[in-house]
Amino acid sequence: MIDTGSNRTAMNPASDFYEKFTFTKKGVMISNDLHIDAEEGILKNIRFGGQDISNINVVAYEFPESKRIVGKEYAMILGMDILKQFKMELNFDDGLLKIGEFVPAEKGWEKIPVTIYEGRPYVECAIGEIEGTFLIDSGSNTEIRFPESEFEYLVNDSTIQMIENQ
Amino acid sequence: MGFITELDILRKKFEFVICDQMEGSASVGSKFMRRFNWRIDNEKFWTSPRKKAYDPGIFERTGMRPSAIGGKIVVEQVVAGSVAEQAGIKLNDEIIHVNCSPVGISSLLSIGEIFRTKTATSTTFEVKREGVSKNVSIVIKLPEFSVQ
Repeated sequence: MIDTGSNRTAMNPASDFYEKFTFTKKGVMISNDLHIDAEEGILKNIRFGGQDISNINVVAYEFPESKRIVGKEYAMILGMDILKQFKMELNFDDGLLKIGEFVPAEKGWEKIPVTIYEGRPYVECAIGEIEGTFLIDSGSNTEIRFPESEFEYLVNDSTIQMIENQ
Repeated sequence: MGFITELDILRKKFEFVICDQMEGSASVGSKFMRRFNWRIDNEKFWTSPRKKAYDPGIFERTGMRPSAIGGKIVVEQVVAGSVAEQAGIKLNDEIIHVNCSPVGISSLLSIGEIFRTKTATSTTFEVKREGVSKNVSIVIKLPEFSVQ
């Protein structure tokens, strides 16, 4: 899974790769704003988009939602530590991840102001008079996600209108 | 789960944005990112409008959310007033066949693809409810959510 919301690349202990990999030290991964202590090791080589990357630090991290969302376990999360090493295009028209040289400023493309904090990208947004900062999180299977307290606040002031469930 | 009538982000305004809640940062997720194509270079980000119109997924189109639960594909959520509810889909229905093709856990993404690629098309689901199979036809269209 390509996860711009994760600062680290992680391996799922439920995947077949896990047993073949040795974790040698303690590391930390940031997920959902939590600093999670995790086993860490060095992956000697990974082929990604037809390119080989060597000596990648990975942590062991379970992806509890992956099976529920897509029906199978992800092997790995490719976090910003790997993604930032590439020029890449997430092309949803073609359903392709394109890696390689491109001209970011070419016609039709707009640079968006992003702040990197603890290795993760954030963007400004406004809902009516309320301004805030949102994490760009390709690993989240949602449109917009709020912390519970903010969600409740926005429901109470009618900014968020609830969708009625059975 | 709810929606925001207007959201100002990435220097643009968006209407009817679905939102939910979870611990951690406020975030824009992959379903929102699908509205654009993205380029990432080191830690810089660019967006470009999609050539094809943004096409919402299974939940936005039908008002039902199937999930893989206990080795089965089960309807985990049905929005009141949605096309799924009107067609007769119920909470906890197990989806057995879609358009006569058997459904397994690994085909959950394929079900989503049906909804992404078809509009105004009748899709037939065979569902199992309390041990009894039942055929339900859903005509795929944009949602009509009921609002509290």
